Amino acid sequence: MDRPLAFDPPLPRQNRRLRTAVGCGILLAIVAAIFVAGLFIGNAAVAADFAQKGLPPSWQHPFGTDWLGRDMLLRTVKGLSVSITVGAVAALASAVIAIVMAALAAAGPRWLGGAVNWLIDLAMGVPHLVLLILIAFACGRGMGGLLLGIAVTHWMNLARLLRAEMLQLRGQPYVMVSRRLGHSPAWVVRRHFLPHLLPQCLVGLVLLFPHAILHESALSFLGYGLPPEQPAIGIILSESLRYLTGGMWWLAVFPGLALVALVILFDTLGNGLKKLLAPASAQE
Amino acid sequence: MDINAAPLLEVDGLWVRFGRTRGRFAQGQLEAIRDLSLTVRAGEIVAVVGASGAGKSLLAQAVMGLLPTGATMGGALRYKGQPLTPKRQRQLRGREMALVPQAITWLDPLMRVGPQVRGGDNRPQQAERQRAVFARLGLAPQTERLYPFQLSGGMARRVLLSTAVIGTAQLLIADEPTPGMAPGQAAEALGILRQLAHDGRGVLLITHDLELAVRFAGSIVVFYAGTTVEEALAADFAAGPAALRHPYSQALWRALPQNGFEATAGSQPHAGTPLPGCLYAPRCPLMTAACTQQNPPLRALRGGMVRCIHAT
Amino acid sequence: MQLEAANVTFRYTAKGPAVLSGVSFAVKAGERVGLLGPSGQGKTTLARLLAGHLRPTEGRVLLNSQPLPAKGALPVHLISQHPETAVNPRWKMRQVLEEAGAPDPDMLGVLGIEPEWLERTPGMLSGGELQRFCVARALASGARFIIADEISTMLDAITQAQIWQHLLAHAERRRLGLVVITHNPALAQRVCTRVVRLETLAHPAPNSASAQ
Repeated sequence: MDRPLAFDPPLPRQNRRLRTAVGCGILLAIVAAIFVAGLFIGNAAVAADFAQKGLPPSWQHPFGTDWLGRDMLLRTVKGLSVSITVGAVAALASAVIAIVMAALAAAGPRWLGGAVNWLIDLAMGVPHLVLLILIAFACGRGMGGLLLGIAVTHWMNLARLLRAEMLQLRGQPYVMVSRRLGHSPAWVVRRHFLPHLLPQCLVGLVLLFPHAILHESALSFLGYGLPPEQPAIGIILSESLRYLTGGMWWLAVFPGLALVALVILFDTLGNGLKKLLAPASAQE
Repeated sequence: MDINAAPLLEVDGLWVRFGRTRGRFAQGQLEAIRDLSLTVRAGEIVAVVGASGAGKSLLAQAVMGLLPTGATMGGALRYKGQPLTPKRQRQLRGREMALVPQAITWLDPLMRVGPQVRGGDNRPQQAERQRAVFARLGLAPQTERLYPFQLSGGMARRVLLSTAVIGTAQLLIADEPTPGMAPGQAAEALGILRQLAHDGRGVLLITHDLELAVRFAGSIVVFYAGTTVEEALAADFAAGPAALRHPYSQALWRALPQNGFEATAGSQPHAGTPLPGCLYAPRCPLMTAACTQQNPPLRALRGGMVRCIHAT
Repeated sequence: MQLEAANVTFRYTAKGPAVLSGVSFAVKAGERVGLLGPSGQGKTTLARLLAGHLRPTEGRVLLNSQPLPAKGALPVHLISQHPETAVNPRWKMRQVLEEAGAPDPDMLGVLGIEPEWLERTPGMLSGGELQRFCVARALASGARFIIADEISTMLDAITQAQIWQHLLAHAERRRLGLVVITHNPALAQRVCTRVVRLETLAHPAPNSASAQ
């Protein structure tokens, strides 16, 4: 009976999940490699060497060297490594704020939910960068103020998403059934809520990374972030400005591109994870 | 039913398979429809009846060319005698073949009902047609100026049906049009479909509700585990199990609350379960060794079709 | 034992229209009460009030003349029309069953639940198959009252008969009280010991008469 139709049926989209998973693994490996490499690049490796100063990109120094003769590739990798650390801590802190806020809003009394909503709207209404600069400035420049600033300006989107998910879950018939079967709220949260929310938190966390990294660089570039002795990308870019007019274009171009690449990488990683973890896309 | 009318839609040996995630990464092939055949002629309602999971909704999607990605199909589909290729499905969709929308969410909430039913055609003839259709479906003339949220449930159903009526579609496919309706409302919706069939269109009604199918359809196709097991006149179901051909159809009839409420044991095999013989054999009172050899072909019997070697 | 709605009124919001107003209804152990009525009249709302999924705006739901406890196990279990929303989509069916207590393997067999279904997630089963699990869960929970809200409306005739035959046998043996909400008069006649129409249950309370 299997008479073929007069056309070729489309190929089944198989193994797409496997491909996404492998892709995510590779991206994660790249991030880990950059981070570890940054740790191993000691200060000696980027010590001043005036014999090599101001060299354009070559095979020996692919990113060129700066006005002190330091290798720009090593400085960039170390800068990215710092960025990853700052991004991780800031994104994690931001996610923790988001989870606490969402839980308060969804599980607390009605007035608290309203208050959290108001706070989310307020925090979203204030321009990011202004708030960031204010906080970083108030805390004095340095790591602490930078982390605090990024953490308190990035939790809103995730908090709003999680709050909506929690409210939606709370109204699900299967959660109602579970409660009326006599299970405690803690049991319901652990068994029904967390398995649903944790993947979303993870994806939200990874997608926070690129924002945190960009803002860290921006703040450092403007001089409100990390101190100049830190080899951060923002510092490198800001210093390079003084030498651009001298024709040393490589000081800005390669670190800048590397920063953009890292941001895109995290974004791709986050979206890949989203596809892997969402049950709705299991058929894709 | 006019046996001599030219067939609108012919489905012959249709199969649909699709990839499905098993475990975390592995994806296998599932045969959701194994062997399905039916014919819809102009002027009749053909009901496809079966348990959920039998693959009924995939039939509508396969005919319209709207199968989900990853699905493959085979067998023969013909519309007015010509093969339905993907290109032809795109051309005919909405013009010659239409799905009857199920819910008010199909309507644009920000557009008045009248212009919406006219489908962007602003010529006066089209407005005339829309008014005629509304009048026929018992909708007051001022209904056309209402927005969807102003419609009551019954009005909304008629407006949705009017989108199908006003079109030129010869073949209407209604996939589970009645859940959530009280019996009176369901009868009203199906009464409108029957009216459309009287006017010369063909209607394919896909439902799990045997009683409704018997009341409104001309013929009934019984669907089990992705295969057609019987094609019968609705009158055969009204007459009772003696007039029916396949043991599954008889079991369906006997399971109705008013006919004995008899619960045949077992359940429909899942897509992907390999069964060498007749798919109903494990539950069948007539089962013999011959039944497990191969899935019997569909054969003509007493004016209908049956897929059973024991049926007489 | 008796489950009772005493003069209940329900509104989703404080100023919204009353979905139910002044409804009184009672079911005793061993009774199977059919509840008929047009759709949109609050049958499902009454079911959710009786099962403690909602709390009445006015009036009380009483179990043996005591108000339903706000928390803790309740010997009233609701089975809904849409089994796919009544089970956690991420769980295996085995976990779904075990949430209500250890399932009795004999019961699974009688309900037509195949052992391999236990290892599947809800997305891999049909509505009829999921509804068998919901019935098994309701029976395993030890509930004394089961509210069946259109539980077989979406099912084919054979699955409907299977599920009901099993539910009836258990209800009989354990003297459960059943509330059967349905559109199908023939079904109500088959399974119920008495049938009431929703519109006969309401005697509008003075303060809610104007709401509708």
